Amino acid sequence: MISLSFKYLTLFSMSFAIGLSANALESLTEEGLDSITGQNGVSLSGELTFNEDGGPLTSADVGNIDPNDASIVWGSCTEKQALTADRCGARLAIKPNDTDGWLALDELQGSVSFEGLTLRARDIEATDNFGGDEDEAGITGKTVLEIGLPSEVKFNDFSYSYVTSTQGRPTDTGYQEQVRHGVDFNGSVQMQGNILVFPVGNP
Amino acid sequence: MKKIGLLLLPFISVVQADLVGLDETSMETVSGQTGIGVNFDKLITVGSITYSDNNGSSGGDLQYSDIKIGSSLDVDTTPAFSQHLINVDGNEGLFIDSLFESTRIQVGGISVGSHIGSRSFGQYSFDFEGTNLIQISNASPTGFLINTTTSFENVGFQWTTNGNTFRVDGMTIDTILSDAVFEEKSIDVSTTALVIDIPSYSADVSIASACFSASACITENSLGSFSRSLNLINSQIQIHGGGREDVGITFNGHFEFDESVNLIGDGNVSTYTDESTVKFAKQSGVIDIAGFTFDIGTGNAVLGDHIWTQFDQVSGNFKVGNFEIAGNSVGEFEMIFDFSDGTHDTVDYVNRTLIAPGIAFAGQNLDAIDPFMTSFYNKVISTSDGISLFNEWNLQADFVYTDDSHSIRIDNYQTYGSGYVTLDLRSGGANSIDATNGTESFLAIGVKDYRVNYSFDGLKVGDESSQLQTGYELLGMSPQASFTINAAIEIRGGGANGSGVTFDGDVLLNDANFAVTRNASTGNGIYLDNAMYEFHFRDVTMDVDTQGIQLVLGELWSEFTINDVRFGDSTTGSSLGALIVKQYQTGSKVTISGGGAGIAKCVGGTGTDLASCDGNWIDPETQGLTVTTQTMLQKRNGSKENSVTWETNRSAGVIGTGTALKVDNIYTTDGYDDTANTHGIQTTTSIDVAKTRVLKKNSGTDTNGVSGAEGSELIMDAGETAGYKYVVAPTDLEKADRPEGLIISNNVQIKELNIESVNMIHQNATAPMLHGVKLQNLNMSSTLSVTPIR
Repeated sequence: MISLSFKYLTLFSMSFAIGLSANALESLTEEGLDSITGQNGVSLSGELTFNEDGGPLTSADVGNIDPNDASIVWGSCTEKQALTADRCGARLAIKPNDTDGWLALDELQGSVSFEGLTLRARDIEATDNFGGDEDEAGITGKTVLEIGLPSEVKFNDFSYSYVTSTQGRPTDTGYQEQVRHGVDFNGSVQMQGNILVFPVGNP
Repeated sequence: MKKIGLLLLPFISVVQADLVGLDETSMETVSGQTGIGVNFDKLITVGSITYSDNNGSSGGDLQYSDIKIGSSLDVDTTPAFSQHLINVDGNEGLFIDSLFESTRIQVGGISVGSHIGSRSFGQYSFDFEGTNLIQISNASPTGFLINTTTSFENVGFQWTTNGNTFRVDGMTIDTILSDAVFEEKSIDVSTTALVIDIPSYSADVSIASACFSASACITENSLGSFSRSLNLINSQIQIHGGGREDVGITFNGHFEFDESVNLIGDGNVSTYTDESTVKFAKQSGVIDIAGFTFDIGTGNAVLGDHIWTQFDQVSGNFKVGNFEIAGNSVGEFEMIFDFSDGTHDTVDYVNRTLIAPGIAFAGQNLDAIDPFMTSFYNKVISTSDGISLFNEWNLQADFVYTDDSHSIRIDNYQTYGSGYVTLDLRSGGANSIDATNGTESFLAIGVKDYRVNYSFDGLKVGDESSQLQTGYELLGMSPQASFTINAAIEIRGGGANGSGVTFDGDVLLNDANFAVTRNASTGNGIYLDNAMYEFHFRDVTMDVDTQGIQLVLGELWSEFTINDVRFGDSTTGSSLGALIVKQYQTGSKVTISGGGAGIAKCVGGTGTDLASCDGNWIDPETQGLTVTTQTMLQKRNGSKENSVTWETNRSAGVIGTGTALKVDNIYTTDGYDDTANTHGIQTTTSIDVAKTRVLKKNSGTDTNGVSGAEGSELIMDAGETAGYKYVVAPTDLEKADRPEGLIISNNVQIKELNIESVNMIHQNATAPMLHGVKLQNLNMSSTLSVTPIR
């Protein structure tokens, strides 16, 4: 189990481009807040819970059999604890090439809560300060989507495994997997800063 | 009234009248001891009745032709019987107590101006039987004092075009008009009008069934049943001569709902009942109508001669005190509205409707819009009966939704636009946009060049003085949009289960611009510019049962092409490139039900009540709205598919010339193979307004000048200038004064979601980046509270 608690994850002076979009991370200051007029945007607080007691695939499903040992693959988390089902979490698998196997985030479970995530369209003024990166990013005068990082993110038994597998589904014939690592988060992350998203380049 | 001609063309009538003795039993409310009785056996045929406001330079004729009055059993051969008992009392005036046996009033055609003789609005008939008592006496100091009590039953209505009929069966109408004063008096320095003061009026109307059939409705083809109870007080109608253009008629009105009837039961209420009931209860409000005019217009380039209605202003407020779906309350809805003239982008918009007979676009080649429009209008001809409308509007409004006494407002909603709509009745698969449909009749609605513009500033949670915020994005609402609609829509009676409604349609929205989010003060935001959304739906049914409003979506396919996703100005902001989203579903379902999440919870913490919760205690109470969906994404079938394409680096911004990233062939399955697909993506979303915790993000002063320490809690306090303060460690009493927020609770369940491939595409050359994606066994729940940035 890993417990994380960063007092300040202050993110600034960093921009990166994915394709033709760009994201800039900006430290949040009181001066920056002055430009928030209250006429725009929204503040979100909430909680996301994944597979608290399993997902919609159930132990009673036809075809829900491990091809290797004939055990029940999918079930509730109660059944998993009782060792009558192998899994109860969500699984996201991708196949990066045509001939080889799959990469997967497996057995995704747990909850994440946060307070004060903000979203708004923001016009970047010449007086806005991004630690000197604003000219390089070329965003002065632009409208950006500002994602204000939540002041605190709490993880409660948030866990997943990173696996490689031969098939997409654990119930597929010939399925074999190798767990590369597992992660279990408990604790909180405190954040400060904004992510700015805006277009650059030829659309 | 200047010149209003009423021309009775030659008619044939058979009227037999007998004088009979006064029946005291049926004259219980008549205090006088003298009177006469008249029995009528009516079999009347009128060639035509024409209303004309033609004064030689403007105006035209409105003609009702082939009018017949007779028995509902056979209007051609059987007389309709009525008895009228007439009494005059020295103190209480004239009484006429009437009994109508089964009677039909039938109109063979209604047409306007140059359309007369070639095409009409269709044929209409009205059946009724019942009683009517009218009392007329002198009002003080002037005018007539009129009381009426009307009770009709077995009322029916039929509208027929081109041999196909829409009918309303089993209607009852009960009305009471009390102490209405009719008098002619000056309403301004130059106008004298008939003024009707209505201290009290009530009307109860119920409709057993409505359907598209020449025969009596049956459950399988019925649209459902309806009822309406309306009580007005302190209302007034003014009628005077002179229309928008020379001769015509002008109305003004003031209508006030009687709220006292809402204290017990449903009060003023409208209901729609299928297997279960949707109810709009405890209605209240005041509506003022100024300068509503009625003219006969001529020479419209599209409609030709037409009925022309227009008003200067309709304003007021209308509230539904309890909106209920299948017995579960959603909450209150209120609309504060003002329809009046306005100017947008130098174009003047008025509130008017032009109505012409026939189908204005019949037989036209509309391929330039979309071939489905040509096909739709090729199924009628230039002489087909029907209704063609041109509508233009300008509206400003606020909408308020109140959930368990907590309110959210859509602030400063403005809309304007104009366009054409046609209505006619058709039958059979060959005349349908879906040839697999049966022989039944249906309502065909055509929409052509309907330009819609709207915007609103944002949401306010609480009252009108609350801080503006977004959050509409999370509800799938665009805060600003403009688009042109062309559509062909068919409506049939009967749902997935018994009565209900079935829809088929092809819809095209083009020349569109949608805001995703925007700053209401600067107008800058994120916009979907130069967009086109074409969607098609087949066999979509709507029913109301104990679960709520059920939509079974049959087959849906669509393509949403966004030429530019813009940041900044709506049409000139920096572009992120083009986005193309295609959808293909069959068998998807949507259920809309009353009641929100319903269960209080400690979000982000533990605890069983407000005091013990160390996170955010959210209690959505009982009212609210819950939407459940089951989305069945299907594999690619020809050009129908589920995919998302993002394209950039285009030549002159033309789609198809750049480099694209395509998430291709997205579909759902049941988790064990690529064939079974019965689960889809299942979501349950509840929307509530409730109190929520808001923590200060940074120490210092916020945008409203209120200071507080980081992590302190916002507590509402009317004694503070800004209406709130920050408290480091609030007491339980202070926690009870947390601010209100929009609460969105959601659960998503997916057995398996597949993406066949993720491809890079450049000039028709495709290179796969991923050869498959599978998301399995997802069960994600979320609770979001949405508040303004302070």
